[in-house]
Amino acid sequence: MEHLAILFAIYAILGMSLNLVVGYTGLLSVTHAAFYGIGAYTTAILLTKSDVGFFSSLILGIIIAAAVSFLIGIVLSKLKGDYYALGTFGFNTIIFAVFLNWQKLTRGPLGIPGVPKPELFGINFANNFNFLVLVLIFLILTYFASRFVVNSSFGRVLKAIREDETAIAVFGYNALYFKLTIFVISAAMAAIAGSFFASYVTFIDSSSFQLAESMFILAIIILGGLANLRGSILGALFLILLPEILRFVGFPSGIEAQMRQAVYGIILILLMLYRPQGLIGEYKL
Amino acid sequence: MNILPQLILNGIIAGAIYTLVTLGFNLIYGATKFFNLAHGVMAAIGGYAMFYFAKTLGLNVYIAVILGVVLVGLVGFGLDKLIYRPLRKRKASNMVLFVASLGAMTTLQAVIAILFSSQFKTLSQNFGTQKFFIIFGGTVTQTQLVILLSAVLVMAGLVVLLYKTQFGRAVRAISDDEEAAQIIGIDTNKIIGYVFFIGSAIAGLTGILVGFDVGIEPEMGSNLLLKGVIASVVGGVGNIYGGVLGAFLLGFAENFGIWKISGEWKDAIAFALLITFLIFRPRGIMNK
Amino acid sequence: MSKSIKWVIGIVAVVVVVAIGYFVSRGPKEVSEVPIKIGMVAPMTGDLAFMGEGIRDAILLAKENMSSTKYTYEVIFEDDQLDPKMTASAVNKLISVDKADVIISFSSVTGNVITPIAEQNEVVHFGIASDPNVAIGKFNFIHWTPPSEENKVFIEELQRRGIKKLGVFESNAQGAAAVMADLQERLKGTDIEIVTDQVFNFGEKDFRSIIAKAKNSEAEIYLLMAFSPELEILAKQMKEAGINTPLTSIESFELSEQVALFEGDWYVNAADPTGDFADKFKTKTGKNPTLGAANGYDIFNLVVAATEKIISSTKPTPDQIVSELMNIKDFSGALGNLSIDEDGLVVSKAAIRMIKDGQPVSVSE
Repeated sequence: MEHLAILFAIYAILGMSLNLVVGYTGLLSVTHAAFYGIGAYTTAILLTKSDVGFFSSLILGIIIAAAVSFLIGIVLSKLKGDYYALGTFGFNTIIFAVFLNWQKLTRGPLGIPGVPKPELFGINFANNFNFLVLVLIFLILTYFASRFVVNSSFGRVLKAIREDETAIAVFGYNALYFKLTIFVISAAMAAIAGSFFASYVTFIDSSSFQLAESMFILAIIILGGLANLRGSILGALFLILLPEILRFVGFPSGIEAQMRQAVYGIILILLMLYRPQGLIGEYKL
Repeated sequence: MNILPQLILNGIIAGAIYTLVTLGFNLIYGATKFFNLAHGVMAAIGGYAMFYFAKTLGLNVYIAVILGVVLVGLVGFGLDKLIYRPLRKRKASNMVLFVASLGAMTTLQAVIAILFSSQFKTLSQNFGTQKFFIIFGGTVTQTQLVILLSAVLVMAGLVVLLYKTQFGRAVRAISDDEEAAQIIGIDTNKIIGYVFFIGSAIAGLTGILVGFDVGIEPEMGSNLLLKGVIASVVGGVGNIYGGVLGAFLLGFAENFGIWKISGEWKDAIAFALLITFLIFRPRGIMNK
Repeated sequence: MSKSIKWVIGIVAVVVVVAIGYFVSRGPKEVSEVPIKIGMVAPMTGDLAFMGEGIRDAILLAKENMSSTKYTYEVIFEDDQLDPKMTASAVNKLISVDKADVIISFSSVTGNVITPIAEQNEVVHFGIASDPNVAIGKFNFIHWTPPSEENKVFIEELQRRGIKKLGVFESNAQGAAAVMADLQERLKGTDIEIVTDQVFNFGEKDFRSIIAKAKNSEAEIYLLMAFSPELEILAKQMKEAGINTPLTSIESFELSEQVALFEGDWYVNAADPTGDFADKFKTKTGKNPTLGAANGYDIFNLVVAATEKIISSTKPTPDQIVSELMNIKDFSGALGNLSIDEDGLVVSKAAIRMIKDGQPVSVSE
């Protein structure tokens, strides 16, 4: 079904981009949904309130996400380990509050309905198959871009930072520069996913960009395997498909939804107990 | 300007609730050093256990509280034994423990919802007609005073436990350095198991008290946990007095913050406070 | 066997088990009567699960009470956790896999996601939502007393009682926001003033400080734009703060489990002439109807009534159902006398009621 494939592609992009920061650089960031949201809101607002086209809004979303992530990244650079993670919690909550309460811009809890589909060479993107192809193209682009980063000397420094940040400094590398850069790149990719999400679902509101969403994306990459791009894609596939498959299992009526949640939780626990490096991870956590 | 006394009182009550959460959280975090997402659910389990014992079974209130608290302690102990301990044995990283705790939280919340439905319930019999007192121009209810008292008692109890008993010494040793503690012969796994029992029991008590004050729902733990964590960081992680200080600071910041800024920014204020401390004073107010 | 092979076998085993479960639960289908499939998308887990459950129960109640019909009807319930991406997945499953003809949704968020999908796939969509955007398009309908109607009645009552200063506590969520936006617009040009407007986030349980802020205002009555459970907690904390000012609300007092909190207070509600639905619901589930349950009940009955009017040898199509729905006038529903207007909105009226001796009673105009 194209629908699930589109969702999968969006979350694969989100997973890979977060993996760059968490898996390759070792920074436990739980604020990814904020940049996802910035991309989504930028596209939604521009496409409903002005004549700006989808691809222009995509670029603008990237720019805004990059700017915001740059500022946040500077603040976060002062924090280490668990404190870093907590700091990202805080930023996600604050940005979510902005989405919810800056009513003039985002319509607050009313959300933004009626986001149109992209327009390109007269192709009808309301057709899910065409839209899927478009997202897949961006997924592939993101994959190769990430692979390029990861396999370059820049990527090697990131992994070195993950293993031992002080050692890397001794060799004269400015760890701050690397951490900030990858954080911004990761945020930009998340914004791309956001733009596609807004256009696909055609209605967005702040509830999609809370802490829970960031945690979901984190679960995807831990499941798939940290520091493994294909792992993130696999993780996205698994976590998007699993609840849908569970829809069909005949649970006693009245509690199906809660049973699904329970199964989901148990699967996470089992995976951590028996396969913590994720499905195809390289980096043993 | 008679709003001030009320705001102060509100800050104190909120601080008391956060204190209870942070005391339990700090205790467990100190010994295990990972962010246990399932700690919040312990509060919910406490609240629902109380609901079951007191309202469904009709037991005496005090007995129900004791039963409920013990039950939660056992659940926490069980979580450690079944999930965290095996993971620790394999030297699993904090991220793995974090995700495992996420799984545990999701499952436990779902089980509560299956058993009791997601509908919001109250523990008190006389909702809406509670006795209240007027102190310095502000109002407080009986339940809120009980919360304040409990916070003080639990804190005092923990201080005694940690600083005046051998068990407490062992816990502090593990908090400082788990490997070193093992070397000098402390059975760290057993002690950590007890720590989980106590910490979870405290969380359970918190859930019961909040249940009397406001009510219970399966997801009540998440927000409480986050606030407890913020309080810990602000006050100084792993430090009892720090946690308490952080809890009251947070309680006041939230309530006074709303005074000047509109109510919908309440959570943002809490996190802004967190980030400010993370940047300027990451060890918290009270350094170890 | 190496660990990874064990792992792969494990995954394959799980998938096989689930697939078996899937095919078994689907079962062999009788080809003779192809039923009209009515799907419902609502939160069945999470904070608002009790509302989703209420609507589900109301729809089941309507189905049980159906008199004999020409066609057969089947209902399918899907959880969306009030999360737009899950809503899209739930609708997708209902349309592609279950071949649903009608979809009932709850909340403006959910409704907004479904509306374009329903229109594109030519499936009837009935939203229980306050946002009129949900009804855009031929196939989309709304059953919810619109904020404009409720506010009109509300303002009239305020003026009738000579109230000039209004205090507001509003939840930072869809439903309340829509009503407040409309109310503020309508109050312009009247001599009624909103002297305090306290906003709180959905899920908040500690209102004491915003109550303290509001206490200093000179409000003659407080409008509580919130639903359970925030509503009861807010009212309780106001009483604990020593506020004895009258309370009022739009659409929520009746649904509360603790109606005693609002004894003697008047409020705006969608009219319910018989109270019949509430009794039947309580008999079936043991609980009071939740927000939107009555709407769900009506929607099911409206759809069945419209479909039954279609004379066809094959299964009626959504297109035909839409045509018949647009013709419905003076239908007797749980929320009063219903008609569907040209925009696909069910026109239901609002009325003033009051809690007397723990029961809602109509206050005559």
